[in-house]
This record gives sequence, structure tokens and C-alpha cells, in this order.
Amino acid sequence: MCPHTSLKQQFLKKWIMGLQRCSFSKKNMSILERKKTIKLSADIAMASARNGTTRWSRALISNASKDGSDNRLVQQILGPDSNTPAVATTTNKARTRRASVCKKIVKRSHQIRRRRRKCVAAAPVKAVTSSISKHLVRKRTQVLKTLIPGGEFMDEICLIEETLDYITSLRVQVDVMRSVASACFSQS
Amino acid sequence: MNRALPEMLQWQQQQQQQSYFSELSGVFRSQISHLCFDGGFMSSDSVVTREVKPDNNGLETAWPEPGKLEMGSLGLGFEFEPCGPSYNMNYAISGTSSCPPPAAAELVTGKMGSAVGTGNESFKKRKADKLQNSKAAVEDDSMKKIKAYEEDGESKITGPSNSNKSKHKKENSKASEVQKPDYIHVRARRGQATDSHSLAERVRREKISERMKYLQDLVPGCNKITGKAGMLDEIINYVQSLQRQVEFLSMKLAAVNPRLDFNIDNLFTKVEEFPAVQVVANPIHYLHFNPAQEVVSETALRRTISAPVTIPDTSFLDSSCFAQIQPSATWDDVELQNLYNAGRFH
Repeated sequence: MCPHTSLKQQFLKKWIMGLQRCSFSKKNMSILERKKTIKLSADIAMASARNGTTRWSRALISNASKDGSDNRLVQQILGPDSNTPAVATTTNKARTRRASVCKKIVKRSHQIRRRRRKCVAAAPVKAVTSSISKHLVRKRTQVLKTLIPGGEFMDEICLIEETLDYITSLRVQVDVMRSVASACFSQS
Repeated sequence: MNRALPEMLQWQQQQQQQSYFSELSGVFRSQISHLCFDGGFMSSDSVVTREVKPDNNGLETAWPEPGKLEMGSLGLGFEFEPCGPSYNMNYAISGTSSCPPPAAAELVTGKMGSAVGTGNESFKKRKADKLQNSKAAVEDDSMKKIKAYEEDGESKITGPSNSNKSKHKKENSKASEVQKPDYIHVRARRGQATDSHSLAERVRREKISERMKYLQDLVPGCNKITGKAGMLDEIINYVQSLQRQVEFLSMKLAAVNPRLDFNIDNLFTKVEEFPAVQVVANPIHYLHFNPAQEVVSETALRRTISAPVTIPDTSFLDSSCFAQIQPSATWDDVELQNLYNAGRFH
């Protein structure tokens, strides 16, 4: 039928397992807490279904395990297979420092370029439109980088590949959650 | 002598495009047949057509209707899932040096061996040094291999009349070279700069545009948009909407279960029988199933999202009557209907 089915089943199993582990820890969670755990376990199930092959999945897990409050949850959900997150966090920290330095350099170069462009008098129309479109593209890639987990560290080509993968897994997630929700509703 | 006749050049370019084309189609064919994806050929053709199209103007003409396209795109998107290496292979064939090429090269050679009618020389995808090749390439344009092309769809891709505007990587195929390291063969186009920087730029740009075409298949509604900025905008909107859907669904699930106890057996029996609910052409349509036969679309639900516990006031049948729910009125997914029919005999 659909080649996604195995992925969906895998995701579903991991998600339910994670939720089971979470529900044992705390009783009487508020609705927001419940929502948070549901979403978190779903995200982590989705990311672990990739087995660390894609960058966004690794980044997602490492981001989740960074915060102290969520760390326990993540460890519970991942259970005995929690090997990669620790490594990923250290590399991410180093990368953030490097990225911030690089960003400053890039910003400065952009400013210099802008100053130079202002000096150039009466640029032809083509150059103006192309620069506008380049500016737009740059802005939008920035936004996309914020959307995809771990996107700030990727170059354009990587970013687009990761987006592809991320979109397919988001779709799977939405489908499974939707069917679970409908099954729950029809049950209750 | 290669500048002798413009027609000859044109013909040569057509051959190249078709050769590049048939490569891709060969690979796609193998993957699709491997996955037994029915009805995927049309979409694969159209996808491959898209990839090789020189100008984006022709996009509307070549593509099937959006519904079909979505099916095809889903199929294509599905390809990426189970075949991890094949996903890489796609990219390897397009020339990414980071992915392992030998497997891809073998696959391509296998396909090409069958495809090439002449059988004079076995076509192997060669990767050689960019700089060297660019200098050599400008001189001998005549050394192109003639390939048999498979599909009629390719004839749609007529080479642009102006040879200067050709936008394809010309692959060098020499049967004598056997194994080369991970280099990408790039030939300088006629009338373009030949230094390594601009070549690398061009390679990078082509990679990006190819990935964007994959994304066009995935993201619904991107068919009509041709520019990079517009497509990026659509992609951003789509990702944001998907993330919002996840949030919404998790809130909904939290509202339903006071104790986070999903009845596992029940769920698995019901959910695992689900054939995959395919995301239809408009994934925003979240049809809330309602035996009172009111179809509440997600837009309506979104408006009420401020009050998170918005379970529509309906008379839900109990679990024993799960099977009796009439599917035809509300779901637009045929497969789910089958599921419910199957559930009747559970």
C-alpha cells in the first residue's frame, strides 16, 4: 500500500511506549503538562525513528535533553537507547559558540557591502531586482533555519535536504496523531 | 568544427539532455519498480521532466493535475523512507560527492547497459577533476556520447534554441576510465566563464535547484511558483502549519485523556489496521469525524482553539458501535472507509 506504513507503526510504538513511561512518573498532571509530554514524546519518537541518520533528528533530541526539566522525560522516553544525546550536546555547544562568532563576521561583511553598494550610483534595474530577490531568499532561509531543528548550523544544500526529511516525518506524525485522536474519540 | 553548424550543436545538446534525462529516469524507474509503486510512472516522468526542464516557464504545461501530482509526489516522497541508500543514490547521481558513489555508479551502469541500444560503449558515470575537465571540455565539445533515450516525454524537452542558455551539466562519459575518486564532472557551458569558482558556484546552484524541485513535489501548491523566494515562502508556511497541527493534535489528545493512558490494545488493533492515511492534496482540511454528520473543518476548529477543550457536542456511539459509524458521509479517504467496513466484522 503505502511505504510509509512501517514508519508510522514504528513511530506509534515508540510514542506509546514513551507515554507509558511518562505516565508512571507523575500523576495528576494538568492539561498543559499533559500536552507538553504528549508533544515531546511524539517529537522524540519521530526523531528516534530516524536512528540518528538525519541532522534534524539528532538536533531535536539534543535540544530536548539540554533543558533540565525535560531531560528526565527524555531519558525516560529514550530508555536504555540514550547514547547519542550526550555527545550531541557538547558538539552543539561548541558549534553555537563558533556560529555566533561567524555570524558577527558575516554581519559586519554585510554592512560593509551595503555601504559599498550605496556608493555605487544608479545601479541598473536588473542588479537592483536581483539584489532584492537575493535579499528575500536570504531572509527566508533564515526563517527556515529557525524552523528546522538544528537548522542554524546547516548550509543551504543540507538545509533543503533536511527540510525534505523533516516534512515527511512531520506528515507521518500528523497522520498518526490524527488517527489516534479519532480512535480515542470514537472510543470514549 | 563544433562551431560549424548551430543545428549540430543543438542536436548534440538534445542528445545530452536526453542522456542525462534517461539516466535519471533509469534510476527512478529502478527505484519505483523496486517499491512496486503503481501509477508512479506518470509522476516519475513528470518529475524527471521537471528536473531537466531548462526554463521554468514550461512547468505548468508538463505537469499533471494537482491531485495526481500529489499522488505521484507522495509516491516519490515515500521513496525516501524505506530506501535510505536509494535516497542517497538519487543525490549521488546528481553529483553529490559526499554520498557514496560506487553503488550508485553500479546501479546506473546496470541501467545504462540495458538502456543503451547501440551497445558500443558502456556508459559509466565518470567523475573527474573539475578544473582539468573544464579546460579540456571547452576544446572538444564534439566528444559526446550518443545515448538511446527511453521515453517520449523527453521529446518535450527540446533543447533551447540558444546554446548559450543551456542549463545542464554535461557529463563526460569515457569508457576507458574505470574508477575515479569522488569528483564531479562539470563542463563549462559555451560562453560561460571557465574558472573553478564560477563552476563550483554553478554546481552548487544546480544542486540547490534540484533539491528545490523535490521540495516542490512534497509541498502542495508549489507547482505554480517558480522562484526560489516564493517556494521558500511556501515551504515555510507548510512547515509552520504542520508544526501547528502537531501542537493542536497533542492538545486535543491531552484533553481526551485525563491520565495519559492510551488503551494500548484497542489502539493498536484499530490504528494498525489503518492503511496509511494519505495526506490529500490539501492537508489543511482536517475533517473531524462526527457521527452526527457535521463536518467540522480545521479552520473552524482553529477559531475555537483558544478554548482548547472544544469537543464538538455530538452523541458519540460507544465502543461497541464503533463499527457502525457511517463513513461515507464524512471521510474523503476511501481507505478509511474500507477500514471501517472491516471493523464491522471485527
